[in-house]
Amino acid sequence: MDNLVCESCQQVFSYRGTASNYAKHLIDNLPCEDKCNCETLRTTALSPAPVEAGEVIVSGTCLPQHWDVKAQRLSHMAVENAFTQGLSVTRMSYSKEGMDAVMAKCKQWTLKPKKGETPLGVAVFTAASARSVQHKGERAYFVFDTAIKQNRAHGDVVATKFFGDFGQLSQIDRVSRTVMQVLLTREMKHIPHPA
Amino acid sequence: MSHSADIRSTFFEFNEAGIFSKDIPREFSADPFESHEPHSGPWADDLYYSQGLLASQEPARHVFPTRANRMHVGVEYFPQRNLNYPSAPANGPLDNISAYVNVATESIEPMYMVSVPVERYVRAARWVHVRRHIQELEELAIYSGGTMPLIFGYITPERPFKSAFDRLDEFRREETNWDGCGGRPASGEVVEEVSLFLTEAEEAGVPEPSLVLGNDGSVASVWQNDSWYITAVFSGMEDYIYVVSKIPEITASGSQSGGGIAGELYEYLIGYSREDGQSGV
Repeated sequence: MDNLVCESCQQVFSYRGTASNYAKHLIDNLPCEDKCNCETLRTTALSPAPVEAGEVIVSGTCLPQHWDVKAQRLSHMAVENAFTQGLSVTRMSYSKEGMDAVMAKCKQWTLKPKKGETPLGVAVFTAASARSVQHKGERAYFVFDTAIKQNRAHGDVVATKFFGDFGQLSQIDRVSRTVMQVLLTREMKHIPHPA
Repeated sequence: MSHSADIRSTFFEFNEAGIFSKDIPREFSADPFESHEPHSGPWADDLYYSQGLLASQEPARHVFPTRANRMHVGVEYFPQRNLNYPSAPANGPLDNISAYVNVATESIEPMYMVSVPVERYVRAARWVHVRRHIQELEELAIYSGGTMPLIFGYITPERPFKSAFDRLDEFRREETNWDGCGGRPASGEVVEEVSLFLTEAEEAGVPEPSLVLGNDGSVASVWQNDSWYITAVFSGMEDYIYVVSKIPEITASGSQSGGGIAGELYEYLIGYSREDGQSGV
């Protein structure tokens, strides 16, 4: 099928190991020997299309624990998943039911871990803005099309380094990772749930 | 040994300038009971010697805030005092009080010898003991947000960083998998580090941060507005890292061992505070 990564890369993306190692697994194993440019290709047969630069993507991981209560803004912790299991995003171009459905799903998901918490909304940004973040002259994030059966509009923002538990990193790497998180957070616009 | 010159000078301070308005030298700002001995030297020896002689005549008037008697002060003797200022668990306003009382107690003995009324100064010295008890209890209660229950008939006011301490306590008690991704609560080490930092930041008068929790239990203090994003992140590694962004640039970053505020971070927080229109710095 057109625009699909090679079989080797497909296997990399179909990772079934520990979820929190997903980002590291991708970066450690990509690109393949044939140098697939996976960002510009579909990574699974379920994918509708590669993620274009101008695509609006939405992260629903606005947890209360990540929320800056005083400033009423997102904190850099909201993008931490990009360093572990991948920051899941919904590609609005391919979301059949639009933002309302994304919001509803986010609300449901936010309440799942702890009943009674206040869902905070979603974070909206573009693939290009995430891809443009640089750290010391190098790309800080990739945005991959990672469609799944339940959600063909699924994508992942994946950091390029400093993976895993923050506390396990060296001091200098913790600084660098925080810089990367701050830079990506700045590219996001928070949209609260309707009252 | 004659101290006539000292007596005259302290007499002037009490009656003209007022001992409690005296500018205390920096070397007296540390804890006078623990790590420093501001009474050491011939002058202190003389002072304690005369104290011992006079104590047998009228003990109630000669209770000095020494190591020996600091834990044996009767509660009923404490003067009524307005506690209308923030509690400061770590060597802050309390030590200023200690330093003032230090100067006062050094002056009390010679004043007694020349029949100057000393009760109010002795009472002030005793008040230090009360504050020390409160401080110790507050340190025990630091993880629970810092409001003290009824102690000695008083209730301490809410501390400026109460929200942050409360939030930290929530993070400590957070359940595992709080984020649906295996998220962990803040560990004891993280809580301790953040508590120390918050205590010093509170005392330094910087704005109260928001606290946020990371997947591995790391806790970040965050200050942000339209222009700034400042964060200090604690992971139980006996240090913390900080990043300062004057949007859109990353302005500064670094790390700091221990719980104190890094000098560079403090400077930026002052700038943030001024631009954000917050008072306290």
